[in-house]
Amino acid sequence: MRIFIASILVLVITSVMAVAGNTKHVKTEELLELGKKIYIRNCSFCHGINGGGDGPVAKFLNPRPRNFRSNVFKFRTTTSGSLPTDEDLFKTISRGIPGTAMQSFDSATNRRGLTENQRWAVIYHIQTMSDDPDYNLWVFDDEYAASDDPDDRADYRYNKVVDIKSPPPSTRETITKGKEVYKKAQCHTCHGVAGRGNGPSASKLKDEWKLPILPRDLTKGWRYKGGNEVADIFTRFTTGMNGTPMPSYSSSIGEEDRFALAHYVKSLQESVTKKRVLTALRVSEKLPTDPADLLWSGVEGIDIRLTGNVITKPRWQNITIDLVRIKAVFTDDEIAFRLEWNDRFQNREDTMALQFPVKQSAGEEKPHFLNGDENHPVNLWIWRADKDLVAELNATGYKNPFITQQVESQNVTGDASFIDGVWSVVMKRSLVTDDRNDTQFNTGGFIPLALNGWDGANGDTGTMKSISSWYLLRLEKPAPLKAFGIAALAVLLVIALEVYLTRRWRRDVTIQDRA
Amino acid sequence: MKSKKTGGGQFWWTTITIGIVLALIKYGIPWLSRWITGSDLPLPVPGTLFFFYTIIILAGTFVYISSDETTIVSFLAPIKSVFRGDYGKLFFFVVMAVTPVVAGYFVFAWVKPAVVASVTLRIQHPSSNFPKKYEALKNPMREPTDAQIDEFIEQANNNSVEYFPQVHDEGKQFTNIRHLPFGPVTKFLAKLHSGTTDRGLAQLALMEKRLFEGRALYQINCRPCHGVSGGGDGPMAYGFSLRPINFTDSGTIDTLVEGYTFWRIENGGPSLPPESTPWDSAMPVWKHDLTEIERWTIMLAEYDIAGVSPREPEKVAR
Repeated sequence: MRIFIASILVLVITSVMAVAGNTKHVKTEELLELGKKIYIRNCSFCHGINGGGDGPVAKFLNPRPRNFRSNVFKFRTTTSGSLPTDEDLFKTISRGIPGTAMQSFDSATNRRGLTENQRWAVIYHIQTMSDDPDYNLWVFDDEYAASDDPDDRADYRYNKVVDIKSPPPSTRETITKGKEVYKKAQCHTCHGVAGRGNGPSASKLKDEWKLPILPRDLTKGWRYKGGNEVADIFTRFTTGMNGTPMPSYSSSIGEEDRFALAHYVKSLQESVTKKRVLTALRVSEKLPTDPADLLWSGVEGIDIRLTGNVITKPRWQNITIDLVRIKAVFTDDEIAFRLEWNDRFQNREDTMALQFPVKQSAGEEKPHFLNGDENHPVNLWIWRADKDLVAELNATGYKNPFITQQVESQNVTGDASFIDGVWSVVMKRSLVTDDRNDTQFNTGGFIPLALNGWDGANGDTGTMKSISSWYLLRLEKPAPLKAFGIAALAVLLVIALEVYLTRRWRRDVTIQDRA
Repeated sequence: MKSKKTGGGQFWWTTITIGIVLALIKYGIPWLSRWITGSDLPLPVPGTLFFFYTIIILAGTFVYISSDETTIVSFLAPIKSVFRGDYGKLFFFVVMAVTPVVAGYFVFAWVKPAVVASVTLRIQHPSSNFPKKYEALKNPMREPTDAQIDEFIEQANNNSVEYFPQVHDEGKQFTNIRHLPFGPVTKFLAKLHSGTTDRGLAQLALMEKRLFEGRALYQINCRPCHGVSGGGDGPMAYGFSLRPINFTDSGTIDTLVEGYTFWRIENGGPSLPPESTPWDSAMPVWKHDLTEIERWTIMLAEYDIAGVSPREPEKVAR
């Protein structure tokens, strides 16, 4: 009985705590005061002292930090054009905006983040920053409720349009239906037929401040700013994203269709491998330079994540090439790589480089992953869209310029294609060359491999590029005859043992039976 | 045929035990290391270690089984039954055919020259090339001098408080300290307006200004990797095989003397010795891009953001 009462108590307490976690804290003068301090310490460097989105960090960021004075907020559960609820703001601060500099401030995910009370405090402070006095929401809730002005009572918080209990389950039918809705609602004009954010209007989009803005590449789940779950996606269609060309579909598409669409969009998200070793497949046929060659479809590749160069000036945080899918095949004489990455716009300046150490040491020692160093040069195979050819370069550190190899040392060939927002580039060379500035591919070991990428349409140039850490390329040696011999011997031994034991144990039984 | 199906317990218990232990070694250790470090990749565990664990477990079970007659009999009972064909002819032939093939496969996999990545056991805080002169360095920004306090009071009076160029941001941001809503600053300014200067308050206000400035420099320069709250989780961090340090973790900057942290910021990844894999480090060489005083100011804020204090240098008698 005591245990029963205790468990009931625990249940009640935890559920009260859970509810308390979702309810907002009462707005008081003290909380506003605390909010201001927290804002200055944590938010002002990006969002500006007065909330203008103009702090000293802002100029390095794209998308720019929110301007809190403009009353324009993307992530809401309210009707298009209206303000977010306090809870919407709380959600954004708590989980951050993926793919941007806005990180989660939840003390549960980040030890030095903000507690719930601190997060509510800072939200109340942010709401005092509006330029428009009508939107200046420093007024306390009870004053609002008691106001004589009907406009005040018809306040933003009553414009809530989305209230998701639980989305319907995903089935083959909902996804097929969602695909039809995607077509009917013309999502593809911006987001592209395959969802790579490369639709025909993608390059012409502008936000409310006449700045260029890009439609989301829906295949990259980790870059959905408002969250990549079905409920999040549904909310974005329903409310639209204020300040962006993404409209609300709450009146034009029914709820059921919007859920189907959300399931379809969710199904477009591609998975990413976390492997760090690329195993090259040994084949006997001649290696193709055509990226569409059927040989490639039978090869297992890995996904390489790229991030911005934040190591040397000029630094660059606003990259678009953050994933390259790579495959490798080799024969007795040659090796070929195929690299594929999403790019909304084909551009003359699009460039991709594969990097290897010139010398491979027996131990762990490598050149620095960003273009080597003085004592450890790297060999780069660089493909440029404007020339549509692959050049061989060397580099000796990120502070030094790349050196193009002599014409007679250029022996990497390649080919590229750009189809529906995907660059596909093949680079091929003989395994071994007689140039001592080239990397040599010896089988039976690991060869470090890294990437540098430039998206021309994104303004990438020089050190403003996407970079990767070292990954490893593995070239298996064919198994020697000796290994087959030893394995065969083992098989014979086991068979002999089986025969011996069977005879012996069966004889034992007969002896026992006789006895 | 007389079948002896009783007493086979030992065999199954042994098989299950070995299975569980091997699974723990193979999947448990990597899972635990991922859980502890919070990283996607398990900590490297040498293959020889796995090998020795496996040998120890097999040897241990063997010793146990052969310890007395009844366990041996109990262990061998199910195996003997198979060989005697107690479970039917078909089962007997399947086992007899499959066993050599499986054995051959494992022997082949073992003998053939496999390419295995060597394991790097990395030393996070190397001291092999840490210059001794840094050991006792103190952050000069912690204790303002009298001259600095005087200068600050004058600047506050004239609305011409100086900030580092990056924070000042071409004049867009600050020329005074009125935007700092912190106790010492507001009290100091209130007194200043009424015509009195309180040096004690001025010192505290100056420290608030330095902390603010350090935070700004941190957010501009360090945040992309080390994160807005020092968690090593900045928006650029995912792409580096050596994850940026989480300053809030114990065992990072709180176990180091300030001079060490300063040296690491100054010289970055390339200055690390080979045992710390400098080729994987994305840490910039900040002496190229930040002045010495900017770096000390950042450190003031870095410890504050992480909520930890540096270790005091030990007083070594010479």
